[in-house]
Amino acid sequence: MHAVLIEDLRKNYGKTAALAGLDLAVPAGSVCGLLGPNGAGKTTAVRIVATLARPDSGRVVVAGWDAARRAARVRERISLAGQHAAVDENLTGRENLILVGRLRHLGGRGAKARADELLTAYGLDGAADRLVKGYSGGMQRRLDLVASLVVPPAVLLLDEPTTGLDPRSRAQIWEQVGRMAAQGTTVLLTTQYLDEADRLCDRIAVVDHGRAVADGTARELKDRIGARITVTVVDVASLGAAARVLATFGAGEPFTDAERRSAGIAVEAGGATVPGVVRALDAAGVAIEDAALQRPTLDEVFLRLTGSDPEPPRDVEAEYAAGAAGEGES
Amino acid sequence: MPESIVAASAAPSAPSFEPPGAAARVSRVFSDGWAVLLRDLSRLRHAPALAFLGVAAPAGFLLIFAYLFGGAVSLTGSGVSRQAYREYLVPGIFATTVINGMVTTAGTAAEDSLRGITDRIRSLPAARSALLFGRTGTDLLLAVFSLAVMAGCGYAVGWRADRGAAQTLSAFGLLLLFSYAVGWAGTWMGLAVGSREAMQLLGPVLFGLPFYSAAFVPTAGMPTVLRAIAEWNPVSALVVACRRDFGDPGGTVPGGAWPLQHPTLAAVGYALIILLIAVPAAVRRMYRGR
Repeated sequence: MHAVLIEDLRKNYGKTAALAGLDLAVPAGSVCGLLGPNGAGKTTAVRIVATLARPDSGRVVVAGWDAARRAARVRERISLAGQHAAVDENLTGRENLILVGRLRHLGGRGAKARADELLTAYGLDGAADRLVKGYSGGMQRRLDLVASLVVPPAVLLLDEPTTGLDPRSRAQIWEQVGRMAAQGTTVLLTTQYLDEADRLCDRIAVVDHGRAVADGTARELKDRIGARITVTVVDVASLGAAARVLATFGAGEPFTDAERRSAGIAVEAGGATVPGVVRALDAAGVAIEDAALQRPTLDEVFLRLTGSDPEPPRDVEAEYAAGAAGEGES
Repeated sequence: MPESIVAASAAPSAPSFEPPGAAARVSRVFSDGWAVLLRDLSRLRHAPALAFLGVAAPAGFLLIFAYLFGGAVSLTGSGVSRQAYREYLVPGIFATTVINGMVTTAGTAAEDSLRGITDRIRSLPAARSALLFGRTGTDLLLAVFSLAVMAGCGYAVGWRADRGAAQTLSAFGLLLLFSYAVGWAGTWMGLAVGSREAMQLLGPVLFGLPFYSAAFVPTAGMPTVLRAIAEWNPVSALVVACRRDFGDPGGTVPGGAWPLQHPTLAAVGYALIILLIAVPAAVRRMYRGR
């Protein structure tokens, strides 16, 4: 059962295609991240899922309801928070929550009771009766998140929940989102931060130029690029021999860096092991100081997938090896 | 602990969503609109100065025109006394107050949209038009307050409503109807404006409306093109209708364009036309988004 299903979603603003055939399936109960650079179409996608904007074509189903035809039903099931759906800074924290409660039809008394409950639960009572204007950025976002819990939603939409926050506030928001996800709320969030996606998301869809260019768990995305084995030899003269040994472990060309006395090669995920490489080098009489298997960071995955090339690279391993050779050790 | 509170059955679950009937939908628009109106009143409670913002500019104009320019008007040998000019002026100031309210409304609506407050409300299961009804309702209350304050100021400079209660109520009723109409127009424009820069341009343009009208000076002395613009300006019909109802000078404009010959009818007509355009446009904007 998918909490959010997006099929071939397209949306143009003038001549600019914000979405150019986005597909996405978010399983119920999971945390899915739309990861992409600015202008990739993430926010447009979330706005359409939240029924704030209408697509030119394509289908969006949220919690079982078609977002275009049954928008009112969808709004009963979702909450939207983040940089584009804000709290009112000319009201107090409590008044903000009461407003949301009233507009969610809890009634005046129900809205007040629920506001009290949430303010206590999330440690905001101290600031509850101060104007939001006086809150720190982090506290505003926390209130924003709490406002999305006034009626616990089936699907929580978070648009760049931590953009512009300091590290401590980010950690607090992450904790809060994690807590909501642990209770079974489906979360669809957009972010341009890889650590955020890595930390929060069960699945990540990398979005670029209005399309999902890759999707999977953080691990799967990293595996698409494979890993890299790097060794540091004792004697720089044996670098060539080391490279020849390494060549038998990977498909591409090994790279060498004489200055650092290191040689390396891109390998398939789960293909080569460090002990295997060490044994082979030993057998070839190459003395080494250090050997390491490095998994790519999500940053490397991201750059690879959303580089200037609008199409996903076909031969990521080869490109990765080439890139690694150029960059040296990372 | 937090977990238990959110997960507890005490947490409200979304109400059941059987399609509401027409009557339920209408009552929902009102209750949701009421929630928005309460929000706006809370805002005002936190910053009461905002309510007086609506009268600061008109009060300033009243002083400037009554005591500075007013002297020049009476010196021209037109036979207009200072006192007569002040009585002539005050309905123009009322119209300025109404237009000023529209500028404030447009600004608030634009700020709410740019800050994401409008989108937050649009993402809730409330009637989307409720935001508009609530906000224009608040604006109407503010207009009552502003006009009451300005009537007091007018009284202080010697203006009187001379034609009895019925005519006085009719004039204020017309001012409020007009306020409500331009409140919708302001809300629509505020929602449609995509940037703060555009808002900063729009504000002064709207604010200038009373100056291209019969609000401060008679249209008879204006150059032909400007005079036509001024006489067809809805603000002129409003001002002349008020002058007539209050028994102030300038209640008739001999040789004026059609709206000034039938000022009350024209002002009501303008207000209805503005409502007919602005209400659907604003509602559409709320429903469709960008």
